Amino acid sequence: MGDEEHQHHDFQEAGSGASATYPVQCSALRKNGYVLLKGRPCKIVEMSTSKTGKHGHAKVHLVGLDIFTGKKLEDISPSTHNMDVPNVNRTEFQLLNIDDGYLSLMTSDGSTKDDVRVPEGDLGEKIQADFDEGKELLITIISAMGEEAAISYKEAPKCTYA
Amino acid sequence: MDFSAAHQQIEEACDDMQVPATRLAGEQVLLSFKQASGNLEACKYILVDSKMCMILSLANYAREQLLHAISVITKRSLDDYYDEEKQAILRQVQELVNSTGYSQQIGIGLANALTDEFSTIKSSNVGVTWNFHKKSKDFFEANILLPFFEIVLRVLHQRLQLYTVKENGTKTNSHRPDPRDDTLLAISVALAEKILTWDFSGPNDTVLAGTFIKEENDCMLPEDELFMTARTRAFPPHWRSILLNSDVLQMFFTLLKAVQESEMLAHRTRQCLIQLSGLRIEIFENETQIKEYMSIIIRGIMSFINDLSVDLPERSASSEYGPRLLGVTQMIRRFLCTIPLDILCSNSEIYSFLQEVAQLTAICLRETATDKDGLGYLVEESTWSMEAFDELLAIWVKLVQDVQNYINPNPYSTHEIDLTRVQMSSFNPAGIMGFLTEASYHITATYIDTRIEMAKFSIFEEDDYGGYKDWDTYGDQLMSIAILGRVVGQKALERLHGLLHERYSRLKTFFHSGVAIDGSNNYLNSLHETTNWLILISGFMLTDSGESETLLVPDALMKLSISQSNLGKNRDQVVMLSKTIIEILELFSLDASTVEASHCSPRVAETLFWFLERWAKTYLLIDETYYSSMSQNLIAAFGKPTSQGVGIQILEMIIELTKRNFVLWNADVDPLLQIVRMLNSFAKEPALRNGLLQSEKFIPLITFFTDSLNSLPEMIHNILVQTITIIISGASDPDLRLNYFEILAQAIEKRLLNALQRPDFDQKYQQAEVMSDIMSALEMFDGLALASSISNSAMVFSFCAKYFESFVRILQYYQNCPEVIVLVLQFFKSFVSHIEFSQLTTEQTQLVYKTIGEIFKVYSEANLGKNMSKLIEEGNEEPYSDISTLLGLLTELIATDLHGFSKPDSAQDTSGSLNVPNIVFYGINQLVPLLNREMLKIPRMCGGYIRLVSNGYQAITPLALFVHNGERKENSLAVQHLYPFLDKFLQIILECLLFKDFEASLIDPAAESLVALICARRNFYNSLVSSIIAQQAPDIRNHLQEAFYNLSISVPETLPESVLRPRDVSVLLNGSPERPNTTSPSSSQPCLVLPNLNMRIPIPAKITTPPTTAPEIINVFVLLPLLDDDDDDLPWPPAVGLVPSPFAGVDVSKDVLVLVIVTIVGIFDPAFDVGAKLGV
Repeated sequence: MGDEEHQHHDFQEAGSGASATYPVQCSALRKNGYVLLKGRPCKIVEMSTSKTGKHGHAKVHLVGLDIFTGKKLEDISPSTHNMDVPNVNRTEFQLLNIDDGYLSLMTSDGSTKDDVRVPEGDLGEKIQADFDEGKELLITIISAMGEEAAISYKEAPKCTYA
Repeated sequence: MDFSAAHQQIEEACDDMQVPATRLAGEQVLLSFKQASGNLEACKYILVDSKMCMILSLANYAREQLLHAISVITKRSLDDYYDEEKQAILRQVQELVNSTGYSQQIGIGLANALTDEFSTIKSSNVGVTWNFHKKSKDFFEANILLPFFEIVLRVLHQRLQLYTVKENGTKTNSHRPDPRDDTLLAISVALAEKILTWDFSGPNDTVLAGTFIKEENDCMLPEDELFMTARTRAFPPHWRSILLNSDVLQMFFTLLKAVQESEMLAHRTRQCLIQLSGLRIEIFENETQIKEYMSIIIRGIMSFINDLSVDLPERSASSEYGPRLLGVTQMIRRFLCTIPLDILCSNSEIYSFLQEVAQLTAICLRETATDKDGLGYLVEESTWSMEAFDELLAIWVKLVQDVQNYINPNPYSTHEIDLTRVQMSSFNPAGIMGFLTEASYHITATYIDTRIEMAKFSIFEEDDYGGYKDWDTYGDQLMSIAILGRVVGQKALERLHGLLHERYSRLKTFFHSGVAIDGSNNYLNSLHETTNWLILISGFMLTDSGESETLLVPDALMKLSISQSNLGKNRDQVVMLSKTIIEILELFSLDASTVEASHCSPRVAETLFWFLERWAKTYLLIDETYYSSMSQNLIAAFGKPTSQGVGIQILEMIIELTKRNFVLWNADVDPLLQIVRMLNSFAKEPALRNGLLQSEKFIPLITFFTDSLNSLPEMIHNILVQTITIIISGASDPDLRLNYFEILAQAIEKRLLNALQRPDFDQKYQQAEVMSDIMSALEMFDGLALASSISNSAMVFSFCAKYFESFVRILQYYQNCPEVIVLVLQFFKSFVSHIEFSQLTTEQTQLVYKTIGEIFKVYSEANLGKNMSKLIEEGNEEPYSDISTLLGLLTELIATDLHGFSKPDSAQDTSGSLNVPNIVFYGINQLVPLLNREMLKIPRMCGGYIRLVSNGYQAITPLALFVHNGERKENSLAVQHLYPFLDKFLQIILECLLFKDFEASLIDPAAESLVALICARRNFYNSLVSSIIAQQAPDIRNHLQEAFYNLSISVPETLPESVLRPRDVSVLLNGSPERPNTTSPSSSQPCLVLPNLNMRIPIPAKITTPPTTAPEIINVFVLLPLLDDDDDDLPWPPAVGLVPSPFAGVDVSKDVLVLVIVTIVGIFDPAFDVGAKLGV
């Protein structure tokens, strides 16, 4: 428990002033939304209720995928209990370069951001291949609890100035 | 081949097969034996010689396969013989059976195989037409079946001699053969069962069962359907002499006792007896016959009942008790429910028989609650008893209703009573009613006791109901008990009230004494469960079920209440029981923060609101005008204020309890959903709806709902708003309606603007809190859209339209947040499918179209070419829900056009306007590049896609009709340019239907298109057919020729012009697809490429941009290019089109057409499973 609380404090997002998480009653969580399971930000992929006995109160069974590692995490909680919902940001950046396993991205204020790794597996390979072909790419970075990762990309639309 | 060596080898291999370690080796030996030459002779040797069990069973298998083959050949060649020659079938079997030993077995075996082969359900799939199946079944039924029955009866009679010990017989047990080893007996019993359960063709059956003939043609009366799951088929009259022979009937009863030890034989014999117990009245010629039949059946069954109770003590040792019990009850049910009551009562033994049945009913009930193993679990046996009880219960209900019908004939009843027959007999309905009244009370009371007894075990019940509620699972049973209970209404209500009141006091004590005694959990649980059941039983007793119609107070209860008018409303039983239940709800509606709240059961809460839903619809603000006589007590207790009733106070209390329970159960979906269902049903009852709308407490309730939405479960959000909208839309006063709508709209608006108007929205829009507001608001909008109807569409539109632009913006902002995107799309889908376009002005409709166009544009811009991490969609229960919602949106949009709900035809004349076709066309063009093969492998996606595709056929059809009509008017010049398209379509559709794996749900629209295309292009069709026939092997050409001939004559020469609507014509005239232009693939003008057709249809430039200005209207067929490969397991490349089905409302004999197509396909593909293709 102490460990989890510790994390909360560590990951206060500087600047925005918003906390890293937000409490929501377990029953009011949304499928396809996010939740903190075992201290990890997860996308909820399954949500089912069960009861202990015919006249028992509802418990919610949650299955989530860690948004950064893809690891499956589960939890069961009384439906009336509060759960932490992480604030999750998904932002598109233009890809400037790929350097030593890191993406070099252009932020909205024009500076560069070089601290996100090229994702592992298929997606990373595709990014590399398309980038090598000289395509202009937009990368979507997901961030929560102080961690970041690339989750999707597409070719930047060709601007035609009339 | 050395036979004995082979023999040894095979036996060893068989032994090896039994051991996991050597199984593979054994299998290898057998497989290589299969390839060896001369193995057939060796097989013969081995089968004759071997004593090995496994090989002996192989012998049985080989015999059955051979007999099966003979039967198939017999049936297949039936047409090649004259009728007299066909009788050889019977002679052969007779000869075999008349000889002795093994031949006899072969004879009965052959009869079994033939009976299967000629039957409706067990015939093999050998590629013959339906007509052939039908013809051969009829032949068999008329000429062979009865002689077979006689043969099998003789054999059974012979075999039975071996097993019945004469009363003074001296046979010793040691010599008595075991029926379980008697193969001849086994296959004879099987044959008898097959014959007695034969699906006889009725006089009006023209088609085989399971085909297009609808259920209505079945001879079942609606009431019978309710209470009789099965009936004995009507045997043809000439079976009489055999069926009614008392020796025959008697033999089956004797047989059952003789074969009791064999599970299989006993089961089959029971099935025979069940059939025989339900012979229909028409088969009897006179009273003597029927009397004799009845007394044999009654005595036979009585002796079974007797045997059951004799065996009672040692029953646990016998696993056969359950099936025996159930079998007997099914016989009783067939018998008592088939023979008319007045005839039954002419039998002197009937009362003692019914007495036995009543006792058996009580025994079954008590056994359901028997805790056999002492561990608190109900033993498996109890489910047999429960099933047997259900059978018996159905009998009592039928008897009670029949007697009531005799005493007080119901003019609307479908049960015809032969009055002349009744008058001739000495039938006295009052006498039997007296008996039934007593039985009803006995059964009702025992049922209530049993349910209370069973509640003790409920703590062990796992919550594994799969969403089924007790009132659904046990609905039939509870309804039946209610029918019996109302016969003795006063006593039944008294008992229920007493028991419920006692629970109420106990619960109250429990709550007041705080957390209690050890084992309180068990105590409380059983208290909850008994309360739950008492409420359920009371609910069924007090009210009838019914979805939409007005529910009336059951007649018996109204009479009861009237009879108690002198007691006053507070001592009226109907009132007292109702009030006790409401008091229990009050007791349970606790503050969520109290300790007691944790003792409440969400299940009981749900049941209480289920009760309130039914009860309020029936009793609350009761309308006196519906009744010929009315109880003053009911009016005083529950009536309208205008009748000096206090119903409004009760309604206000329900509002209050609703709110309290919403707070209490805010985290439990089940009770919440039930409360919403209750409110929803109130919306449909004018009195209740107006009661709500006029109550001061209703506005606070709405505000409470909208304010607390974020903390309620997701799935409640839209339906809650939908329900409120439906209620307020029903306000008869327009000002009141508008006033309420404003309140609701403001709440929704507040929620949306709370997020959108934040100054820091740009930075904070992805904060969980902000997104939660946005999503809740979108769900509320969805709820509004779902509640759209003719009465509120204008209102809903004006409010939603204010935010159309915002929705497009939300789509842009949240393009990387699929959970928000899908809600926006879902809103538009609901909006399009529910809004009444006829209530909107042209400008308003245009705005809807324009916005949808933008939605597609924004969505496609954000998602085109996007590569997702697998993580995102994997593990998702509903992947690609955004795309599937968009598919759905398009389908709904087309539907508005198909049903003529969108703007009238004149809209097209206004230049600059949009219409459904161009939006759909634009949308599909945006969507297709986003689809891929993986997605279509998901059933839900594929389903949505197919719905869209079937509209495509509906687009081809009018094109063909247009040409067809054009030609008839000798105006072929105007339509000539369309010929190449039509020919191509005709060819493709025909080839797909015949040669490709065709999606069953597309057969109907494809058949429509085909008929239109054939009409339009008959010459081309004929040449196509000739070339198809020419390509086939010579031996099937004749069959094929005939089948195509049948198809051709089924298609009318001309189709009536009326099937084409003027607007279709105008669509076609305005746009003339140009001829294929294959030479310039790099043409700068955008083209729709149809690779399958080698066609390119130029697209007017404007349509590739969002359709803001009028594009040329063309009738487009989009053949989605992605399904072009040959290996595909997906349906044929579909056409997507935009025009309505021309056959709506016109009687084209589509069934005939489909039938013919299926026939042709059957010729090509013997494995073609007609049933599966047609989804029957």
